Amino acid sequence: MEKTKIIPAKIHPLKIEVIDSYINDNIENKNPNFDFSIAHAVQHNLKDERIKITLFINLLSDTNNEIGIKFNIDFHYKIDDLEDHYKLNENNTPIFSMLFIATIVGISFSTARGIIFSQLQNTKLNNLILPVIDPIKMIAPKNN
Amino acid sequence: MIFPQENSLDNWLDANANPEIDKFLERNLAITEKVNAVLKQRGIKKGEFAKMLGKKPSEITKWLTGLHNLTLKSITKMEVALNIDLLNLEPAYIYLGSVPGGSKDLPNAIVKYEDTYYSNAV
Repeated sequence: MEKTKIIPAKIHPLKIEVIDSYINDNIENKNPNFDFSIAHAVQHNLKDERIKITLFINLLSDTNNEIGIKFNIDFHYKIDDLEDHYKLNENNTPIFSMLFIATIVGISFSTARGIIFSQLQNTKLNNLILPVIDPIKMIAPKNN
Repeated sequence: MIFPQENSLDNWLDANANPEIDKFLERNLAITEKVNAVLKQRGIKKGEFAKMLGKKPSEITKWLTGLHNLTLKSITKMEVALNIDLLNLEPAYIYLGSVPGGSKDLPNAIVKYEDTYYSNAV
């Protein structure tokens, strides 16, 4: 697929829904390390020019996987130029450009970082900040 | 009264473990937990949800216990009514490394900064 230009002003976040969250801050070690894993799902609605990103974010203590956080967050976007970011294949299934999906996933992940940071402020995990990641790394394995 | 060890329910369950039933209960419970979480998050009462599905509230209460044998038809009905995905509940997680969660580095996080200048060229 040829490269499509991402125009930020055409991406409109419509709704963010924290579907599920789990926080267990019962840390005994003052400087614990957390295993970071993430999963995602992407859905679309061509008629209404919508994209929905679902993120599952886990940060669980490397010594006790009941300690840490698990979040499941849905992000709904309206994309004014959605039709520029996909091509229909022979089965009439839209195949979206990886750059476009990576951009939307990246926006969602950064937003999730803020949501999670804010939700942890009154817990012992208030210094836990989600790292910056390459969204391509997140979406590439699923795409292959 | 001390329950006789040889008759304990745990022993019976261990001896008669059925992975198929275990998996069924686990998935059934995961589906109802997700539906319950979405209803709670969206502030949808069980009676209202029953109306959305065209069912009696008592039936929906039974569905949402986690012990009812949900059919594919009833799962799909809930998926459509709530616009959620209930069958792909185990997403493929990617491990992205270890994140330090402690406070040992915090005193160094805020240091002295200088003003930054940058060009207009992209």
